Amino acid sequence: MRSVLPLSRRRFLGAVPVAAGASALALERAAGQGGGAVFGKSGLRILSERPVNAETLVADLDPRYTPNEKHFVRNNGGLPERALSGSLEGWSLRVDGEVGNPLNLSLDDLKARFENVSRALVLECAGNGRAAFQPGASGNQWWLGAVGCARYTGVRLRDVLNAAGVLDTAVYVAYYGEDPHLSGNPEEVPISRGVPLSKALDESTLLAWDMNGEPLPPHHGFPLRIVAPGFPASASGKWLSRLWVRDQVHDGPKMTGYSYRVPRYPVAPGTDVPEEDMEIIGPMPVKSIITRPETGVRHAGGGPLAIRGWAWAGDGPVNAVHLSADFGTTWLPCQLEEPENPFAWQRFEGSVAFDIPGHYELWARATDHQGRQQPMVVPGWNPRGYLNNAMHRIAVTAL
Amino acid sequence: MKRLHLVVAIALLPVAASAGPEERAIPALAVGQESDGRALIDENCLYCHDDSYIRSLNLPREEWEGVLDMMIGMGMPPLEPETQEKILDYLEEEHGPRESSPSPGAGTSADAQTEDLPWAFPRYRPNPLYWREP
Ligand code: HEC
Repeated sequence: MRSVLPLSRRRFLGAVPVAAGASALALERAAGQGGGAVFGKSGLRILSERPVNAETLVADLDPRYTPNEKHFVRNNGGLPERALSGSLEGWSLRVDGEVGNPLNLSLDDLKARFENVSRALVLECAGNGRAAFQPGASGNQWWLGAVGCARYTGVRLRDVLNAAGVLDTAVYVAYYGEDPHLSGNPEEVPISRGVPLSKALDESTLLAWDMNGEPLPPHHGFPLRIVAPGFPASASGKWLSRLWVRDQVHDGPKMTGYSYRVPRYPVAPGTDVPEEDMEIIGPMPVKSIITRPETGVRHAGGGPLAIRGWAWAGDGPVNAVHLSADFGTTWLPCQLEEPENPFAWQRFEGSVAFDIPGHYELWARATDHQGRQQPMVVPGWNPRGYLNNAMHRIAVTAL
Repeated sequence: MKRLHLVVAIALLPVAASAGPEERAIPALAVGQESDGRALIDENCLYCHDDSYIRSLNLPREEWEGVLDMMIGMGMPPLEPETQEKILDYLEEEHGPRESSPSPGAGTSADAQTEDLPWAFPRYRPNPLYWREP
């Protein structure tokens, strides 16, 4: 597989009728005009082409590891040149700020100096499910598919921070990436978020160069990205070039204001919440999705219908998944596997028998390690439409 | 084509109802303003991103104003007041709140009651059930 990626990149570059030396942003624009195709992706629901935002169809979430070409994409700016060329020339990772020993690491340094680890990790956009909020929120209208679980290989962020010698003054680890701002203005940064130090030091937070056995694809952050599973995926910076250890909560673009923040207290839908009452989203809430069968299935034969899907939570394992075929009146427990590693999603399987032919809804409800369950309704309205972990439901006609 | 047709109809109706034929020039102007609005969007917005964000939204004018403010935070140079007004006219007209996506209770008698009894008409809904993905 490894040789395929650079080759297809070259083919891509050759196919686009723009002058050599044009920016990657221009290339991406040209590519976008092809009518709904996103480089390296197939069969996604495209929300926007510039920047690229595309979600996975529910049925394509069925494999244990979401394939690279199906994994959702949430870009805030353009693609860096490097992501398309696959070149490492001039690339390094700088680690500075509140550290005793600032580092400048090549990809080879990273691979050689620190223990390499592989983990199956869920990344979910904080706005996944935004489309269901009432009143609606601006931003990408994600339905269910801004989530995926891929197998990442890299090093622990913790090990790199330890090598840099984090000072007592450190509280936050911020990232900068190579992605250009949409305006093309090199002074502007499209996004620069980060995680609290405790999350950065979590043993599951990685600096990854490999996704499902391939170098990170262009839209997933070649050559290096953070994977901070459980937090909004926007904390997992792509096309990484700098880690800035800070003595305060980071205040880069999309850390402040209303971005990736929710009100400190519950508000009535549509409330104008003052900016100072918004707080940064931490771990994502418990959630599950039914990947088989697809909604609208017609179930013949009268036997039980097998149901399966995935469950995950942002700060620990899921303890149980239940199914209901009668609008929540009764619940059937599912079989639930242990996670392959922390922050991997967990397979649930169940079966439902329908005594009487007719129209049914199947609801899936996950319960996390602290007993918190998914709500039936879209919870906690907030100005930007984050954190919708309402139960997934599918329609079934029993014949 | 369809959009243009709609704009003409909306612009004509009040005129036809309230004024004589000599005022027919007004709808033409309104049509001009509409396409102006689109051109201004092309010019002032779409060099940064495609129009999918705009198309996916139906907002009241004040909220569109909020979006424009937000764009300044995203690196858009502040718009000339006249340009801003024309863009807002366009957004309000083409991407204002829609009957087809009403907020719960909107346009029904329940709507009036919501004012007095907000708790009687909860705004929280289940995740939508759909037969096919959108
Ligand atoms: C300087 C670049 C720039 C210009 C010019 C610009 N935008 Fe944006 N716009 C952005 C960025 C960056 C985002 C955020 C993209 C993202 O988060 O994916 C955005 C997002 C949006 C959104 C989604 C809002 C949300 O909540 O994420 C809307 C709607 C929008 N723009 C409308 C407009 C309109 C209308 C104009 C013209 C009046 C405009 N933009 C001009 C950069 C720009």
